[in-house]
Amino acid sequence: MSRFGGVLALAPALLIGGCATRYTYRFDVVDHAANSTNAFEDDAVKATLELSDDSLQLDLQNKTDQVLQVEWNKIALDRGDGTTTRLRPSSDLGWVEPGNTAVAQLVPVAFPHSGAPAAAYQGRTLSLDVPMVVRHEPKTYRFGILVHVQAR
Amino acid sequence: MRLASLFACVIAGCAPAAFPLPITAAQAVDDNSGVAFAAYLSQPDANADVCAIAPSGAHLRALTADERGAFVAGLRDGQIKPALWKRCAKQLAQHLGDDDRASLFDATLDAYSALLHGKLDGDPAAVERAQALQRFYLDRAAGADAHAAKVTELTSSLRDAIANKKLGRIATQLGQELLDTIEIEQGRYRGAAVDPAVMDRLAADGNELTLRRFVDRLPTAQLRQEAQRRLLRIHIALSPFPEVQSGGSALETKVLQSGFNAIDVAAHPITHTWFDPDHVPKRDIVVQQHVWQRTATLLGAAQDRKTLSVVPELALHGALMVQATGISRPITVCGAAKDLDPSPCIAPADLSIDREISQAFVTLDGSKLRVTDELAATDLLPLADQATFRVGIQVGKSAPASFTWGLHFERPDDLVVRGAGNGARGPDAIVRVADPRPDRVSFDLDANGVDYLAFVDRADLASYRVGSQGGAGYDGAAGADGSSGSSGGECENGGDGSSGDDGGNGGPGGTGGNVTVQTSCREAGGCASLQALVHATIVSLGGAGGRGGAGGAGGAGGAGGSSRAPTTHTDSDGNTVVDDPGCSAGSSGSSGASGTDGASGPTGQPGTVTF
Repeated sequence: MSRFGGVLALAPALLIGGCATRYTYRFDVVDHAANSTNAFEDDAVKATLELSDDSLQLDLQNKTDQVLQVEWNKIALDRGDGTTTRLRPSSDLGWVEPGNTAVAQLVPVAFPHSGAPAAAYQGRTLSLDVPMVVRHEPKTYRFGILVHVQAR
Repeated sequence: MRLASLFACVIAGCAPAAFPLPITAAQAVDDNSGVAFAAYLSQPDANADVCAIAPSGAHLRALTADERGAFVAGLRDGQIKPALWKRCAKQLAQHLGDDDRASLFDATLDAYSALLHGKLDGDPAAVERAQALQRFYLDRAAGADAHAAKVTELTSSLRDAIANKKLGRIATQLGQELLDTIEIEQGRYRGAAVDPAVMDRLAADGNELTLRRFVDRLPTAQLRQEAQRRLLRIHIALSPFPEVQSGGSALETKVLQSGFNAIDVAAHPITHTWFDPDHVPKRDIVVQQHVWQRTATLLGAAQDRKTLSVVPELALHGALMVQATGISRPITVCGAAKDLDPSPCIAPADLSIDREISQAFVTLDGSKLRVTDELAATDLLPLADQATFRVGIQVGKSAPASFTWGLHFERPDDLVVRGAGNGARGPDAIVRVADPRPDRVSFDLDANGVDYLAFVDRADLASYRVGSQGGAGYDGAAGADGSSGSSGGECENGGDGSSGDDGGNGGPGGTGGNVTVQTSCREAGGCASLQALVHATIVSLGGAGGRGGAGGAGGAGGAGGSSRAPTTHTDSDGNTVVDDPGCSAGSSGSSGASGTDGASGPTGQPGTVTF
């Protein structure tokens, strides 16, 4: 095969998917009194979020003197584009005893890796809703998450 | 089947999105096709009630293979939103016979397996679809399942794929959850048999997730009820209602039997009812009138979208709030029984539509509020004097709670009856005019004993017409074309073409019918203002004159004959002798004159309009 023939043979593959730009993600928890360590704290809970493009870990400490229940099957990630992903812990969890901390790997976490769908996430604010029962009162904690994407 | 959409389907590879929207549930059912079913579900605010198979009403009559295929493909291809798809699938599963239901689960598992073997890790929309398929399958009622061979095929291929790391990260997570749940169906959890002791440990940990899976999937009713009891105890322990926390075994029994803790509204008189605005979608009702069919369609408009869609249903659980005597905090309408919510609540049987506020086509279906969207024109009469679309609900005998949507009547087609044939006189008509509101006028046109209704917002009145018109005159016949002239022989001229015939004259338009106007108005002391307002709207018009026929074209002149060259020879003396002097070519004949166009017929005379 000639040199040009080799290039021509490669062209369709590049057109189909080989030349889409790939992106890396960075996430910052914003608002809701979060500090720079992606943690949030009020008089009832201390929550820390660690989010990447393939995992989301929620550490939740119960600061009250009563059990704290997370409605684990109602956690929702609003992607800011009209779609919502239901998340749940990778293994079934129960309530959080007073003073204890629950560590939940929330699944499934998926973000597009390449092309326009990934680029569209730049500057978007996602919203993670975590419904809980705190001191017998239903309450939804909402975490804003600012997305930064960068071409590799 | 709508032929136009079928044609588009053939051309575009059966892209269901090409189906004309909006389409109501009743229209989709009438169409009786998979593409219409999927198109209905693709719309904002569509609801799953169409999926509750029934012999009448705006429900599927059955789920044909075509509809099943379009339904599953609609989710797979992103046409139907996963949340609605799941609600519809649940309705279908409840209403289908055993084999059809199994076939639906078969199709679900096929689509699910295809998604798991695709690229989920970078495609959140595909993940959402796979989750919908999985939840539909895992949340199914006890005893309902796909055909056994399909389940075996899926589980063995999933186990193999996970063991050999053939699936991506998310597909593995989803697949493992499904396999774990199937293990529960066999009465086992993490390799051990499920028994009350296992459940007690989970209950002590407040592990609702696992207990919920036990409630849904354990193989015997007894085990499922044990799980229900423990799940309920967690809910009671977490309840914000002190009266629930102290409810004891009587409350447990009540909720386990009925699924919820409905209050006796006679024993707990209602003091206040209201709608939570965060749970009522903001919509405007748009009335599309089909005046000649004497029907109307109600559609929904939302500020955040440009196109009309169907009117949403409203789930009253969470939306209708009630304060009842002796209950420590506001309550709402009871939710789904399977939620095992011990919160005091209002039973759907205690709800009624307040007919002082709401229209007859607002209905309650359990705890869901619906608006019938296909109406007879006469159904609009009580709506015509309303500025807004109000809905009121009563709990027991309480004062109603209400909410309001906007209301807009789209401009209907002109309501002008016409003479039945060419030049026919227009029907005589009676037009009854009323002003149910300052900004809206109603017309009831009675022609030949049939009433046609139209409701027109005042802003549309200037260009609107109601009345009678004569039939259009017949069109004149076209004149015949002239004949062509004959071609000339050698050296001869062509013959002239003949003239075309004149076109016939158009016929006269028919006379408009006589229109008698009867007004009924809100103002006291006469309807002069209303009459002035509609004076130019109500008409009797002569029919348009028929068009004159076109004159025939003149015949073309015949072609001239060809020329002939001279011929000579040389004699014995060497002289040139002309044998034939030849001739020049003939000239072409003249074209005939075109006939004159016929005259248009005269416009018919108007009839009288008498106020």
